[in-house]
Amino acid sequence: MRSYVMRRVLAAVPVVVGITIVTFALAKAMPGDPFSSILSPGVNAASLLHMRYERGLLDPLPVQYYNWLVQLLHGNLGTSFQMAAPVTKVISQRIGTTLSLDLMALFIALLATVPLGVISAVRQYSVLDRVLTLISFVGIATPVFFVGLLALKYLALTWTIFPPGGVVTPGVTLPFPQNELDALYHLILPALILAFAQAAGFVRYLRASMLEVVRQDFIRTARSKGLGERVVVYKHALRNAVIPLVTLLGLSLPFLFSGGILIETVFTIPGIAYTLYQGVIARDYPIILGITLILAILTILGNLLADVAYALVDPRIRFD
Amino acid sequence: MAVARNAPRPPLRGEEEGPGAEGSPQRSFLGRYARNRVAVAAAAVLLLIMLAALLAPLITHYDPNATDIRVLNQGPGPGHLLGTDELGRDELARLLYGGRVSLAVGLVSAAISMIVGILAGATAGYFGGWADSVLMRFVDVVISIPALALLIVVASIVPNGGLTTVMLVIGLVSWPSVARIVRAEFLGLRERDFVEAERAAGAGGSRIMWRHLLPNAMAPIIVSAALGVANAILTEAALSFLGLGVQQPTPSWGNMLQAASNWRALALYWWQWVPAGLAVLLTTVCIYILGDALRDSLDPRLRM
Repeated sequence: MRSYVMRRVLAAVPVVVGITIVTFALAKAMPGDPFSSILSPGVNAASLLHMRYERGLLDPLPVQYYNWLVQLLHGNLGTSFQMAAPVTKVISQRIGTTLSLDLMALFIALLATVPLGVISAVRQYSVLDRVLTLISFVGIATPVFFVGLLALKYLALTWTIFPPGGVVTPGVTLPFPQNELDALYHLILPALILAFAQAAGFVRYLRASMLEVVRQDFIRTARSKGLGERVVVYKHALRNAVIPLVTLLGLSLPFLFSGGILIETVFTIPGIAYTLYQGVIARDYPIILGITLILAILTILGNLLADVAYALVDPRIRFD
Repeated sequence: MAVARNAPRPPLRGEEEGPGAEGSPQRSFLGRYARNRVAVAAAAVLLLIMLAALLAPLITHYDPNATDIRVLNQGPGPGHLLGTDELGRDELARLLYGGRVSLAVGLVSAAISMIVGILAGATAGYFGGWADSVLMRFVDVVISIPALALLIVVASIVPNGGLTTVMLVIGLVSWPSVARIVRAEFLGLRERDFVEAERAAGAGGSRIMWRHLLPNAMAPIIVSAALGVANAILTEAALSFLGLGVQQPTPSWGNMLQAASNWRALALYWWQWVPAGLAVLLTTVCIYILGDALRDSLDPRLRM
């Protein structure tokens, strides 16, 4: 097990290095540098050039990449133009909101997936199965922000069941347990919408996986032993069918984060994804790059966790 | 057929789906028929949407860009069937002409990503070695960056030069998943006997790749092309909604949805953004259903 985890970690290293190279290349492609906005009468072209030279902006690209990487490893992602604060600080203040929203969405999605996927497979081609199939197509194919906008209009503005965005009720300061509940109340609708998009794909996958498993010999064996259908489906079949879902969970993270950017924007939730959008509006390049880098690294970490979890639940994997 | 005695309803019968298994012919036939009927309906709706966009001038006589300050934010009515926007432009005309733009972006971006993806995937899968390693590590990197974040970054760097830019950005960011699919197909196919026979007969690499491997890999490629068009339409909508895609005054379904970022329009003028959202939804759902049916009929092994 330990060597398996080590191998997975080592395999992730080149991808992380690749991500830093891509991010650096994008940073270099962005127009302007910290000195291009200096328009002071005392600064002429020659002294600008000198400042660029001193800051290493005229070094060969590999040298610049190396210096940038060293800064990155020290937790320095640059300074946000717009917020006049270190990017790392902005991210660390806001990442919690994004993570709670995304984890909540994943949790709700899984909670819905297991019963729906099983029913869909057990009653293959029934009316229920077809309705679920159609709904999951809608879930996969619908622009998540459009669902968000509809929910915002009808559930928050027309019928005021949910708050219209944000994470706190404005103008009130709540003591400890209530403030957490208030945040939960604000996050539940966006999380449900994100979960819908995620669950749609998961249900299709679990259904296919269940249909595959029930064709195998051990299911026939279980039935011929005289086990009840319920035990066969939920104990023998489901346990095996749900394993590949762990990998899918890891692979779905980029989609979750992409959807999160739109949902946080629609609901004005001050997480890092909304900050990314604000950065785009203000052309705040250090913020845009820093958050993209963090999202990519979170994706890799998520995949790594999924791989390890897969090996934990399926011992066959460890000995390949 | 093994049926558990105490099963209250017909149990799971995986055999039904196996190749050549005759488990319960009527049921699976009926099931497939119903599926196809849905697919046929989806294709018909899709055709209607495309016709409506193509024949826009015949359906409405309004110019999508003509402003009229006498009818700002007017609701649906006899004059303007779908109402007007904040500049008094006819929403139906914008929806129809916007459909042209959104569908064109979807088709062209998907075509770009298919071409690049097939070239990269075929090279990696057929030649293997360092070309494969380099290409696939690059694909791994791009795929692990959330697509929308990458699109936002690229779109905010590239000076927005109109539709072509949007198509290129979407196409060039979304090819890696195509490359993965094509590579996997080519890897499996290149070891088969018919390829060996072709090589023995003296065929060169490019002839084997494009004349023999590619046609055999067509089924998953067609399916991923269909899904690629749907994803490109969704991406255009998302990017334009964020203000990074198709720019005003050119109408597109995505930038029509941008109207909803104004609280007043969101709460009061539903006709300014709901129809565009529904148009995207209807189009992409139909393409997904079509793609699923295509997969089933092109290659039963891929059935879900």
